Amino acid sequence: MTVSAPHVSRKPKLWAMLSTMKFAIWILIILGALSLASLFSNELVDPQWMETPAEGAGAAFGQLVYKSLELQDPFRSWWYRGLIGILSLSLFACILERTPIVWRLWSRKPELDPRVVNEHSAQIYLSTTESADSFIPRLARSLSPRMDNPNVWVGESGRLALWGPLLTHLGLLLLAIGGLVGSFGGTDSRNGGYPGDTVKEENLPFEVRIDSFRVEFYPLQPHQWVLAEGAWIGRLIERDGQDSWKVERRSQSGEMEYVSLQDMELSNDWDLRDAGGNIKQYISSVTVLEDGQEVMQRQISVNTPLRYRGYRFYQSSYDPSQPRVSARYDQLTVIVSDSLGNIVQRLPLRHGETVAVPGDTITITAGQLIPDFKLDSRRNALSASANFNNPALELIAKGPNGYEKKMWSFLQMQGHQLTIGNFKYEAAEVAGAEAQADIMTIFEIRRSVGTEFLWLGFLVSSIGLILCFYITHRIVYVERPSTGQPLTKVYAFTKKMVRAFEQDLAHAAESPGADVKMTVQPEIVSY
Amino acid sequence: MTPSLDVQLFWFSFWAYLIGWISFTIWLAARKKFWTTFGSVCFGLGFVPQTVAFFLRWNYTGHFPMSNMYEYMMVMSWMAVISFSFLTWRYRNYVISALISPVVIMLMVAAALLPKDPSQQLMPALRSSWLMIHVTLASVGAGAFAVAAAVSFVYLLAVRSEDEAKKVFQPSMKIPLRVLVFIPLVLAIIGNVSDALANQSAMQLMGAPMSFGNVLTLLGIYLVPAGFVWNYSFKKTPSVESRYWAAIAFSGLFLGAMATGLLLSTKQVSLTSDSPLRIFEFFGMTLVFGTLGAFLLHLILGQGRIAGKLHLDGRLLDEINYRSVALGYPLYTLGALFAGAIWAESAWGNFWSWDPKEVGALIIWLFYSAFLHARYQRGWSGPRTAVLALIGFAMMMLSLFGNYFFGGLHSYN
Repeated sequence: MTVSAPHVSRKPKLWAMLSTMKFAIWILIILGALSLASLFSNELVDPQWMETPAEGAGAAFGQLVYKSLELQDPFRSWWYRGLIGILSLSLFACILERTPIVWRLWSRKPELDPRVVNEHSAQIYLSTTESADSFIPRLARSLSPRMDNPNVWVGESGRLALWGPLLTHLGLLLLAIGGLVGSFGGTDSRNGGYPGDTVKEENLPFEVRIDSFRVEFYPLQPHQWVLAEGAWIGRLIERDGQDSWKVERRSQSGEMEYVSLQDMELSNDWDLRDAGGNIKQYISSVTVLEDGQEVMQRQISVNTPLRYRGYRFYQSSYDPSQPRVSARYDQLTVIVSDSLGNIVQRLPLRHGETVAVPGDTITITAGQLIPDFKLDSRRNALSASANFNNPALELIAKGPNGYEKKMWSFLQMQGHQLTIGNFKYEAAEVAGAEAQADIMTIFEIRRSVGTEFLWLGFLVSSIGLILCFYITHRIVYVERPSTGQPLTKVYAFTKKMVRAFEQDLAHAAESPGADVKMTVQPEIVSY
Repeated sequence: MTPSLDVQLFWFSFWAYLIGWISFTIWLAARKKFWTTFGSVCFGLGFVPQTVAFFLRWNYTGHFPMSNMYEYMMVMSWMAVISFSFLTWRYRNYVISALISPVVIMLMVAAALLPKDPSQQLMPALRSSWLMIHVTLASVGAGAFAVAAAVSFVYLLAVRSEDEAKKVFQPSMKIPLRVLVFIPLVLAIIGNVSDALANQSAMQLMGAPMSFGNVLTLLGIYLVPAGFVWNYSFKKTPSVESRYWAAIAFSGLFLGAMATGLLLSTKQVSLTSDSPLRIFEFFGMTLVFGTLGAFLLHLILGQGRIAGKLHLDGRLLDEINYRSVALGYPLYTLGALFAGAIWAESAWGNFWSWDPKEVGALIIWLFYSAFLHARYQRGWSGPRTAVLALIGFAMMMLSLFGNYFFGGLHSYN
């Protein structure tokens, strides 16, 4: 007598558990529930509470739990990453388990094996008195023939769907790996500057020069907030003329009233910070420099980052609160007077030009123009805006023995004279003056790791999802009646949409005079 | 001010759909072919102007019209019409039209109540071709989930086993009362514990401070234990009666969330700003409107008597539930998650920022993933998956209006 050894699974228990569907469902539910709880924890717990010293054992315990579970940023905590890791392991186990099964299903040749294909195993069993030869062509309209011999005809459709679940899971595994790798690596910093500045970073293998930064606004449109007559904020309702708008505003009594205003009296670019939602785009023009050489020029805007050598520059922000004003002029006229107030001469000077003063030992240089002069807290001169509200010109006097003196001459203060050496100087006229205010642009500079996994994951799981859900695998065995048998027997199998398949088969079996009988397995598990 | 042409066309579609829905409902009772033909013609007459309105708006605003709630609801309803037309054709069964057309009406009513001002000014972050891909696929996916929820509602309401069909159906109020009577007790407990919390509510109704905000906050907190009581009432093998109440309650909650979201969208109500209370205020309002909606539904259904008379093909409804989820799931995955992540990478620099809306989409996706695994591999079907489809769609609604209490990167106007 031979005694066979009891069958022992060689799979480790943990592995077996990881590959089960039950485990996958539980991990999905746990992840979902903890994600929801994490959202609430962010809402309900005040982060400042963590900074205050704990009063009493309860509060101390609470803070300990909060800190050890890293609840200030739960989605990057050790336990959340651990769950994603377990989900990845489960996906990996599932893929390894199912690949051979899918391959077997994919590569096996169909045959009418009565042990497998019979009236009881078939999802749909159909018998008809119609001959197989006349019935099969109608089936073949939607099914590709896989086998055709005197006993059996096998038709199949949507075989590719067999790979759907596997590819979907593989893609998701790649996404999970990419996410995990990305959460541990990569760099992220913020940097920026004014036009003309160059962005440099310690580990950045190149530099980025900011050529310009501008904010684009939408043209005037209905429902837009506007600054009307330079004085009050209103809302455009509709055009009431070719060049005028009906504008809604709130009167002093609180009632809504409507006024008609010309286009020129309306502006929608008065506020760079908010502008009532009128901002269309923020655009920085930059030049990439390597070893001082220009490599390329690009525009960085929201949704269009600069990508170079694995780094990405995003138009992240800007700072309108401290504009850097630059001004230029074509010519400055300096009036030189003697101690009695008699005009000695008029000196025409270009920006940056130096001239010797006749009758004295010094030279005068025309310095910078500040259109809206003010002093900061350190008494440094700056311009409050690009408007010529209080224009001031810098005059630089140089003399023998290293003598140098810088002074500001205010154009709107008539008679404001600066005494240097033997004479008095006054900036009298400025021709061709222009000023512009540059705003600081701010970039988010990132270098990520694991993105290759993510892109591949998107691609693979997208293909998998399409195969999985938009293609249905169907296989139909038609048993040709043997001699003396009146019935053509049809065994049909599918895993999805049985009701639709049933209707399609019933439709195909419709034939005048044919007696058709159909039974459908209840594919629904009762509750 | 005369409404723009696209809005006029919207109203034309609205009335056409409404008449179509009434026709399908009459057919359900009378079973005369005329009513299905008439209903189909009405929906056809509504669908064409709705499509034209969509493209007109696109042309007028200069960008893909998916930048506000009205446009989002429009596309969802448009998708629901396509879904039910396809399913009706595929299964050759007008019951599907009768079941899904109310979803179209509900979405159209929501759209009708929302501000329709065309926004021609997209903020810089939204100026991307990904807007079209991301929002369209996500809303089409959501539309398919809405269809699954509607079918599940009817499944729970009207599908009976042979034994159950023989008995007269008279739902008692025991189950809902068991949950609702619980309210004062729980409120008394929570009220004492969280007095300080509740007194901070600064909820506003029509611009005026709302003293009722405290009660709503408490009702919101109450929802959590009430869920456990409900779960206790909803046994593992649900009776026909508990299935009926599940359908009513979940649909009530959905109506409640919808009503609350609409009031917030139209700025009739504002929640306490920068406070964790606002989420409970939202749930509280949802519960109030939801309870009213549930009892209204119960009355409309003749206190259950109409549901008792409906006998529908459970297998068909179950398959449509699965089919809708199977249609919506890949679209939602590709649109809400994948396209959203790729767009976020170009706009914000990260594929994933754990923004509340992103987490909401992830939770919904995890939920429907579990749904599909449970159905496909564990054999869950019938009332179980019907309840899951309703819960999933309720989550979808909360995610849709989640900006109001979670804020984050997605909180556009």
